[in-house]
Amino acid sequence: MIHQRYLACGSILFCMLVCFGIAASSTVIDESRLSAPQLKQYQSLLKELRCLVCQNQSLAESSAELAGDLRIIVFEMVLAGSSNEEIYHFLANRYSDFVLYNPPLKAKTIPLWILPFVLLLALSLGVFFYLQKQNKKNR
Amino acid sequence: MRPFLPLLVFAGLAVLLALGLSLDPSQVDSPLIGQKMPAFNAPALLDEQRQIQTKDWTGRSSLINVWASWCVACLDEHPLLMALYKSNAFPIYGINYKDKKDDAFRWLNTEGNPYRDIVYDIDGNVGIDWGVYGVPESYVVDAEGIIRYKHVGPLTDPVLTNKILPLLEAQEQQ
Repeated sequence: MIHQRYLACGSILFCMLVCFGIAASSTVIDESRLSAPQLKQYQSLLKELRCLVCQNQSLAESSAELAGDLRIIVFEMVLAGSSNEEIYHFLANRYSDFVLYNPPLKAKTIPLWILPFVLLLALSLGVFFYLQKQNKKNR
Repeated sequence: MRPFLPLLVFAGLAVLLALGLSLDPSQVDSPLIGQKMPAFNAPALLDEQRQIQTKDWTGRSSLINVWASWCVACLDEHPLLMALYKSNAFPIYGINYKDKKDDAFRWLNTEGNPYRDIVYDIDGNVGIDWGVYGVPESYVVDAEGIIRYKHVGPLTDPVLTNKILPLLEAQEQQ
């Protein structure tokens, strides 16, 4: 049990070192091969996709090896003319919707999207009625 | 009721936070559960002339383990794999992920080889198709080649005993 915790800490530390390490330039991705709109598509996609190794970073930021591999895949798909939809599906089919920074609007994720607004509304109403009561008391 | 409201809110929050802490964000749900194994056609690690296809690994419930010689956590789970291998209960297949052949051979010679067969995934493309992000990873696959369970990270005794072995045994019954 304790051994596992050390392993987990060690893995996290190692992960942090990898993620915050200096990004090596990839010689395989040659952005000059992309047209102007393709380059835009490629760069914006990298910002919208999550690195699963360093889960707080996008594919654009992460220097994890897997992020490099996935950047190559995104590059090749953009070069081949794939749409954003097709690239999302390719990655989400393998890594789940978690790979997208903006979770898609599905039955499962509706609570995720709506809850903040619902909470805000509920709290605002709560505060409003409380203040009303205070007002009535003070009069 | 009114004086207890803050306490109730706190209790509610405490429950939510406790639930949150019990979740493990490193365990991403694999979309491959319930799907056929992503097809591959890759060289065998121990015989480069031979190609392995996913259908070669069907016919029996099996454990498919993604590993590499550079993976420190793989050493941690290896005794469990060797024990499973020696028990001869279920076949274990390996996907050697982004490794150097010589290093992989050396590792197997030193640590022992529990794998019935090993795919040499030199560039990690098989790994990407399988949604691999944190080596080691292990998949329970049934006789038809459908993935039933995935575990990210080193196998542990509880996971093996409580999740993986029962699943493998249940499939054998079918």
